[in-house]
Amino acid sequence: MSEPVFAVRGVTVTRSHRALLDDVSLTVERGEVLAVMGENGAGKSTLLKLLAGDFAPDRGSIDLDGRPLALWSALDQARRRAVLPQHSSLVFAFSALEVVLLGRLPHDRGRPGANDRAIANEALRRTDALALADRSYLTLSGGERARVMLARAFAQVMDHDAKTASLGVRALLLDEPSAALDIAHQHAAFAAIRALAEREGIAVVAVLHDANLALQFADRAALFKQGRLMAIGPVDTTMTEDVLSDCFSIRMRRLAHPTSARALVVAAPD
Amino acid sequence: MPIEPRESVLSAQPVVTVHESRPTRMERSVVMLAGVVVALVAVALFASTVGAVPIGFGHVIAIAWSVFGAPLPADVSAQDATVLLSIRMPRIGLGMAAGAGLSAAGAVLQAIFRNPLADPMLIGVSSGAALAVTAVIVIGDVFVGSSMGSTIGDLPQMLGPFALPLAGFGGGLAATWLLYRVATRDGGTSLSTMLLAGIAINALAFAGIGFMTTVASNEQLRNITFWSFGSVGGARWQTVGVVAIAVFATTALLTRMAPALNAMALGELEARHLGFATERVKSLVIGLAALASGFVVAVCGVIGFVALVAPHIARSLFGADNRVVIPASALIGALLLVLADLFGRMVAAPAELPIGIVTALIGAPFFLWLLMRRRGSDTVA
Repeated sequence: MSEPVFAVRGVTVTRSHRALLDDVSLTVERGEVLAVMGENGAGKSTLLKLLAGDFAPDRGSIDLDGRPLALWSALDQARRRAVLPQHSSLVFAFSALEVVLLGRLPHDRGRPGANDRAIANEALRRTDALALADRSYLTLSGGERARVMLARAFAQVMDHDAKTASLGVRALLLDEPSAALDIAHQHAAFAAIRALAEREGIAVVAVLHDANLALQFADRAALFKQGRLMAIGPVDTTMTEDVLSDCFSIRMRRLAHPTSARALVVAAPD
Repeated sequence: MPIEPRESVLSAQPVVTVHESRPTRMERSVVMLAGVVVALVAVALFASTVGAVPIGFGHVIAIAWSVFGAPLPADVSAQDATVLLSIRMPRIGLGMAAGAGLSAAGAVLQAIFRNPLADPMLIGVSSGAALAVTAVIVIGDVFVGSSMGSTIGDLPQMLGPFALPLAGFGGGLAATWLLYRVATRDGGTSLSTMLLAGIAINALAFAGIGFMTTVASNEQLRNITFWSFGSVGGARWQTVGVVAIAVFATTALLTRMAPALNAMALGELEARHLGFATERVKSLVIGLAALASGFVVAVCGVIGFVALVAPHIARSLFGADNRVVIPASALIGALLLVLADLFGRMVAAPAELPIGIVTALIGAPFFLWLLMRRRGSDTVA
């Protein structure tokens, strides 16, 4: 068993006397999709920011590939992990392809080669945004922008080149990647995320609000409530009716999927 | 198993090959940049022929050639040569350097403020530089002049041709830093906060300049009045050289930083996630932009709007990639200021309209038009 991609141990973050995260420990393994779920303010985004190295925890430790995150330079982190924030804004009229090529900056430092262009095109293809390549980002709809930004995050960690594949661990941190997408694109996006994790061994941490997407596409789920990690484990056994109901403060029911072994959940207040 | 609805349709088409067989945007940009250079040379040559003493096109070439050792043809008068080499050409050269420096500074300030309406004059950088320059002229004289006697009383003279440009740099730097502290929150700049802060900084700087004028001598006053208009008249090769070297060096350095500025377009946090040391990038960019605009202001006074218009034209021609936008803005800015100065010399000949007035006449309506187009969206970030 190799080192986990991320190892979070006893992490606490306190802001103005409130614990945003309270003694949280978890690991993220290669090639898995970990869904992070919970109510608003449960600490999901704080966890993602910690993993992204935006700030250090008040207590506890975070390792990337067996080494404290703080010891990694910004560039070395950027070569291994991409972050997709909830909202991205762009003021200038970059084309969609140029936006995706920004994801290659940690690798090409502004001089994209044929390999970087190939990766950018492939990333656009995987998020069904290749047809938008030459369009100005500013003229795209919300959903189209979200797909282009997802492709940018893909391009940062994707690799067809054995040379840089030796870098070892790679991770994708996604904050509600599907919020702006229509249902078909939500599923297509998560299928592409899942494929990236499975085929290239990339560790994916995705903040999600849709429990059904988590059940369908994630390997494990981490459920947060008021800064505490209340449950973590394989989606099917962890996301029980009781745990989900407690986590989201509303009665949740599981239903049988008509054609798949995966369960469905609905909110069903009494 | 989850299905991927459109992937199969898309992957059947050789879209990727189509993309790579066309000339890249970069290659097209290089060709278009060469076009801008040709236009710049043509306009500069034409501007050389225009003036109180008209000099024919062939004579301009012959006189320019003579600098490199070629004999001056018999039909070219020595007076024409002097007018061209000592007055007209330094003036055109200074116009180019000033336009390039201000526009490159404008382009990168817009990039780090994430706001296409940032302009060194509007946001107070130029007036900060002008205040510092005025202070050096007046206070430098008061202190050094009274204590050390009249022979070496002129501090600017003592420090040589760099004194005023360095003062401009310092003043511009202080103003940019102040504006950045006031107007930027979470990596984005509110348009209204930025413009209001710019108004405040401008007011403060002009109050300072006004105070300086009350204690200034007559000769100093003439020098100071010159800043309120902005002019490339009276250029000397020495000052042109100082400004041109500073502008060329800063533009080259800023162009090298273009990938970081492209990343910053996504936001500061995103740029850090892409591996850039954003704090260092910001400090360097602010420093270099203040250097370029400070040097220009010290020599030419406050010339507004060119730094707004040139990057705007550059982006509409070349797209948003700062690797192209920064050098393109510099070239287009150079072209615009040579044109503006030419216009100022021709429209009221034999009188001259200062270049700062010409750029304001054309640039201010352009700015208003940009504002109207953006009406309704206050925050840019």
